Amino acid sequence: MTKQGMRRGEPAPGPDAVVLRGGGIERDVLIADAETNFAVYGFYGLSVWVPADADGEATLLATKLLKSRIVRRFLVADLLARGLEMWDTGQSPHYDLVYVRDGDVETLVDAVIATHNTTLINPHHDPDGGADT
Amino acid sequence: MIYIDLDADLNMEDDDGRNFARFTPPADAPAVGDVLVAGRPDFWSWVVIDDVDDEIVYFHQVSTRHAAQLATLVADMPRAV
Repeated sequence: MTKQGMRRGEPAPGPDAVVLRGGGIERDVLIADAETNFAVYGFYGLSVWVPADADGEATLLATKLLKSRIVRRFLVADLLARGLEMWDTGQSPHYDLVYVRDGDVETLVDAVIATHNTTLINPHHDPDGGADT
Repeated sequence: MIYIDLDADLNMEDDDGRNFARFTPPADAPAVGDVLVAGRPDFWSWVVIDDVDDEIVYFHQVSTRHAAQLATLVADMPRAV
């Protein structure tokens, strides 16, 4: 049974905003992830994080992405140029990358993979750590 | 190399900030309260299972220290008979 995911209704991030995703971007893995999102929320989406600024990026690398050894770093403008949309889902600064013009999961994943990105080695990486809230 | 119990995208969160993943029932069905390793080789964490709903499992990440307080993290070595 799918859930009704709520959009936060925030202003869209600017074109120069950074978009982070922990882990690799292997095609088969991304397709499986988007299908998991579809199973829960009824749309194909890939989870990413959008820090507000450089300090926010460092904070994300030390919190939500603490346990990711590598992090992919995109820019909003590059993702939008590939026909992707950014939906403000979940808790800020979480977003879903979606491809609205065509609901096909492979189109979504291929657009993400084709988007220019860089790979960061997370300087805060600590798979044993965490806040235990 | 870490052994992953539950394949999961740890970027993925629901509206309550919980991670979630799909599993294939019934063979690898986790139960509420289970302490597992979830994620992928380059992005994994010890987690505690919060809820299981059909084929979707919800969980939260914990430190190794906290996981060790909740469960035995190392499996027994097999003994020769």
